[in-house]
Amino acid sequence: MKLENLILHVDIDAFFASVEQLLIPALRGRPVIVGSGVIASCSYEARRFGLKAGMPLREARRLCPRVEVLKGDAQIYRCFAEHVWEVCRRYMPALETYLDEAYGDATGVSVNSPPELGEDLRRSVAREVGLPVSVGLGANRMMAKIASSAAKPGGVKWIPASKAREYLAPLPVRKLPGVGGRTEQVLRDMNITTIGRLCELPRATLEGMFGMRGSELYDRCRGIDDRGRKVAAVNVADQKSSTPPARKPKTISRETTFHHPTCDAVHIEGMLFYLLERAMRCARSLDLYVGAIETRIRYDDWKQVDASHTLAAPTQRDDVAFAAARDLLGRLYRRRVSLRHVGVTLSKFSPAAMHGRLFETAPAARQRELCEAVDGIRDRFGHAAVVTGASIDLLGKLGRNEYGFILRTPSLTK
Amino acid sequence: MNIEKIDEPIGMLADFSGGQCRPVRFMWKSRSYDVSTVNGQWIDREGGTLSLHYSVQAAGQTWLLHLNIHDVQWRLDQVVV
Repeated sequence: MKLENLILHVDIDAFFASVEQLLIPALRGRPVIVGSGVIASCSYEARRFGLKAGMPLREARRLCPRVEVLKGDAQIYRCFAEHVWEVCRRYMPALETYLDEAYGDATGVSVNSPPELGEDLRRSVAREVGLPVSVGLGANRMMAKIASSAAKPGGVKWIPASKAREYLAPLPVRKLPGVGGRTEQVLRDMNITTIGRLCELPRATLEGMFGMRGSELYDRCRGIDDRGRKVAAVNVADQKSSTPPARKPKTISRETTFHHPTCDAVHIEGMLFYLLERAMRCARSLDLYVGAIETRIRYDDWKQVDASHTLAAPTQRDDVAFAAARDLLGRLYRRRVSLRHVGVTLSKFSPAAMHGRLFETAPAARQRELCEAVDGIRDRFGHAAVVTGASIDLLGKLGRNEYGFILRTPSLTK
Repeated sequence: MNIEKIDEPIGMLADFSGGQCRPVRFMWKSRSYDVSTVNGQWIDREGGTLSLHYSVQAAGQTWLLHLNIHDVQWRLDQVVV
């Protein structure tokens, strides 16, 4: 049979912890967490004790004293992820990969039944790579993702388009993409806790409550999701995509936790620059100009603040982006408290083809060419081959490998 | 559990049949270790070099080692004690 719309969502279960358990048999069947400062990934054995990603390690050790804590190695995880995606590409012509999950488009692929395709894929990954994956199949991205969540761990689930609404009805509203804490609270105040109840509201009512997002909610609670209906062959987690992307990401983020909370302005700016240049390199590799920059900081007492700035003109230059990010940092960092976390997010992308170079000044052209030349060196010899700008301050303070500085949270060391 | 970083060259007897490479026995510090199981393997292509990494069981311990294709050199990276 050939299905008109068949999207797969492949999620590597407890990715980092699963890799560690694969490589070190002594860890199998035991609670394992990967992270430094906070949990980046935890095994299903650890989750039974209430441990989850983002939890501070101190709290994790209190809940599960015999948990095995590993710092992890982003380089190894990346190699394993690529191996998993290589297997997936045999089943789907287009695959859009992230760090530990991927969307694939199997529309038109001849299969006996969708669950059989998913099961075959799951078995192949387990046999060839040794990692457990959950596979969700649906008519669109949202349904595929909801199906893979339901299939965890190590299962396969297909939600046919005809049964999507029926399947969603009893689920809590927060299962829908776009429903966060605030939206959930607003709906709960109206005694709407399930997706089925949300379906009872007319489109106009939801639009009145949530604006444009309300209209999307109206569709999504019926199993309709138009976001990127076609899956493009693109690697969003990787800086180097060998295939030109047909669908651009909405945001590109890089963030990390400091090894020790710090109030050293030079060090903070160095880290901000390093994260920003990594994000900008990713944007350039996807042929995107950046229109807006957000800087985010978290104080040692866990209070988090963020601010964003729309650039006067979209750019691909590190120096322009960093000037904006540093300005935002200066406006945000007002308290006399050390910082434990910093991050940047790039957004409002536009394709490079939209930006001519006719009116580019000579200094601007030189800066752009410099960025492109540095990218070329890094593509060939690894990101760590060149250390530039304010990130020079990180030399000697942080460990390095060919991928760059070794940050505290390996999951974020993209 | 303790992970010791080694990063030393080793001698290796490997099986390259079937288009695949499988470590069979390695020599480290004048002692020979028979590989009983390959726990997992991965390929690292970053930085213009290609290296094949393995996690193997030998003498009741877990060893992480790799083959650098560029200089055809095996190295022992870590041992899990």
